[in-house]
Amino acid sequence: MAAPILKWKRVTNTTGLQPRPRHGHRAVAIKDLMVVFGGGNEGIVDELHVYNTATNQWFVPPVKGDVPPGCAAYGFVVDGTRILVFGGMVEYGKYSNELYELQASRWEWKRVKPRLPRNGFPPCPRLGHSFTLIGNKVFLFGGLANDSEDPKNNIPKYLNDLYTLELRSNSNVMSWDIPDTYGSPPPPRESHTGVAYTSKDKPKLVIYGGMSGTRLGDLWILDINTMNWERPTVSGIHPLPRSLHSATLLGTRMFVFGGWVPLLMEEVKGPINEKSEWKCTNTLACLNLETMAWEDVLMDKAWNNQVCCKDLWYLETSVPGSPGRVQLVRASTSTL
Amino acid sequence: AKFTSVLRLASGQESEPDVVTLDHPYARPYNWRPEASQARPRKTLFMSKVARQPHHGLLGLHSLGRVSVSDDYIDVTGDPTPSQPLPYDLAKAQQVMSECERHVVFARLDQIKADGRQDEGKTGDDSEMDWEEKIPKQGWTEAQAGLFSKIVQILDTDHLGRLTLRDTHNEPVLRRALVDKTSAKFRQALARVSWEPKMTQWLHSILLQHLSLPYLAAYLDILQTLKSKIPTLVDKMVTLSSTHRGASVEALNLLLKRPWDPAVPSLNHHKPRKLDGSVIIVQVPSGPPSSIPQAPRRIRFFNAQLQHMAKTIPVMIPQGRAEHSEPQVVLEQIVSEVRRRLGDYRCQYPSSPLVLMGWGIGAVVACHVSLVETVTANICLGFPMIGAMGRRGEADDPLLECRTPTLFIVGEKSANVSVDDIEDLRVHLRAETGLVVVGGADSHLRLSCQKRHMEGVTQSMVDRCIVDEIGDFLGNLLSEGSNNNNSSNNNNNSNN
Repeated sequence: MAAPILKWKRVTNTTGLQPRPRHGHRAVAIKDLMVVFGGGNEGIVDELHVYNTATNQWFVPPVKGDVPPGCAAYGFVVDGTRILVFGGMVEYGKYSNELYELQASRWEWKRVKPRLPRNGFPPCPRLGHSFTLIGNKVFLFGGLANDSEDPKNNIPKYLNDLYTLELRSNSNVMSWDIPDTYGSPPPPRESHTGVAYTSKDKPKLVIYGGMSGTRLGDLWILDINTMNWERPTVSGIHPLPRSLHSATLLGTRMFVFGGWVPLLMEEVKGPINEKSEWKCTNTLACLNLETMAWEDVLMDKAWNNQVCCKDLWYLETSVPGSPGRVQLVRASTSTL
Repeated sequence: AKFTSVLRLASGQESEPDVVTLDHPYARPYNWRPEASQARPRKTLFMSKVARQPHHGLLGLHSLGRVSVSDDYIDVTGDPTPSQPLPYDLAKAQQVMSECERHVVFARLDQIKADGRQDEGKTGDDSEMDWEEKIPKQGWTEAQAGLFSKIVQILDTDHLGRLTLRDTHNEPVLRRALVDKTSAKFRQALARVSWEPKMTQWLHSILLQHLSLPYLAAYLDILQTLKSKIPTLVDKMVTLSSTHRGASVEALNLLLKRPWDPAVPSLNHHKPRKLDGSVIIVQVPSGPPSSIPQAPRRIRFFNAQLQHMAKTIPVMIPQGRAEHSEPQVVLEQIVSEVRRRLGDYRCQYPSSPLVLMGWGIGAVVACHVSLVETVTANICLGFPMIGAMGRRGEADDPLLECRTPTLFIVGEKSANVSVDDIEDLRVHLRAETGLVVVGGADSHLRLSCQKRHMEGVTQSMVDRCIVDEIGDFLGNLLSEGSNNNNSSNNNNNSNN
């Protein structure tokens, strides 16, 4: 299978109120709409922004209900027209374990209290976890918790626990569960990505990269039917280990964009400041999940390596299908 | 990378969890205050988060001074905890530390020859224990005897201190603090006799002739330290009395010229990072030029470190003119001279950001100049909140109009500023301000010997941390400016 030729294009002709520059936000797509929430920079954002990809227009919908506080590095999934928000950083050093639901058809927020798992405690407050919808269950994996009571005195604790949140259609009842798994689970991490992929009717959860004190570049797959963790062998040229990246499934390929990567030896020159051992990257990597091989990405264009941005881009990956199905990727967001 | 992070760790700046804050800086810092959104959160240097308990002072010898308070359980059987990395080259530091000890042999050999006592040249430590008893004390005046016993007492304490520190983990730095402490006591003792030349010369020749080798080394350390602080008095004490021993004088003078510092070689090797954008730092003087042509050693080191980061230019007031004038006249001279120089640099380097920096009153002058001249930032070192007219920052203070981003660096134990006062001032200022509080420092940002001992640092390390703070502040300020440009230029950047 030949790798597609890709092309980044910057969207410049938007109208409406553009979101402020930020990082740690998330976005999901509902048909033509991209819904952006949270994130921050010197202050966590609590507005909801919606972008209409058909008209290139930003708007801020009037929301009602139990409007949640702003959060960053949280979990964001969409199921039809309902959007779920879980966890994330709500204040300096303070993380959340609350679950909110946004009904996008009415722009109505609701705080949800799922049933506790039968076999343990509900998930602890965290940020940088993955929150991935597979079938009617959301898989919550890993993240970073604060082991200290005092938000000023952060004691980081990397997690590798797995929870499922079962959703029922047309019902508000949700419940946490701690599933039994087999095989060795991925080691603790945060700011990794989770992607749902179905191969030959077998749904799988793909965990990639993250941070555990050092940046990680390993790949783990959970078979949802057997609940077996596996670490597949991946061929091809591996991209640099990274965290805070995004991973998006398009067809059989997982596209990994950006994130923080360690500096290469040749880049470390002159007086080094300890903060520059990592850098923010704009590289794109592509993993073919059928062949389990990293493929070369033929790129045309890239942009600067800022940490906190407000620009909007999309990636052309293939000839669009029938009109009305718009494919779009937002810089440094995790979900499509 | 290692070096600076160790130094930062020593200053209590960065600890482990900052890996997390580095990756997830979404929120406002916990000490952000809505009523003072222009005031950046205060930073502290050498102030540990947990209060240090005094009885842990001795344990501090083995670490870099950072002691955890909650060690109820003392592990005596397990492997000793690995010592913390030192922010300097230990081998080099030990080399400079023992300089006086190595030179002492020369000084003594020379003297032994002159006295024709070669047979006693090889005197071991043991036989030198009683050096004091061998001194003929007949004919001493009461003042002489008093001074002498005081000095012996000081040297004895110093000797005990040295023995305590021997082979400890951070010995060179702790020894430096000890030598400074001893020198201060010595200076005090001589001040009691008003540095009367006859007395000091007499004392010097007695000590030079009779001290045991280890004590003589300690004495040379004292002379070396004091010479950099009060050169004229020390010269008077040393030169005349040693004229009759020509060869040793030169060696001695060379040795005395350069007080050793364990950290300076490493600090010079790991220079501060250069600021982007060819920044020019203009140093505002805090008074008429001093009669001593050379700036104090510490200030010279500070400026040299600063020079690596950005072009630093001192503003000089022509000598003579200002010397005997009224303060008001001098002040006007300084202001007009600084403004004139700013104008020059603006013409000469039109694209360079200009920054004003001053110590003490110079910092206040810098702020006032920035009211009438456009500069990128003010750096205020040891900003005095209390002036002759009362407290600064009261309702009618023109300083409150200042719109220039300003970094205040003050000492925690400063006599003329309290942290609360300066925080109040920051709330009322509409300019963006930063505040760095140097723990245990006086109004000149100097740490006391005791504090340096506890933290396990030298003043040069403290000064370097201050320079780094200036660099951080200016770096942030300049990159904020360029980031704004970036966002509009993104299209161009993206074409690579």
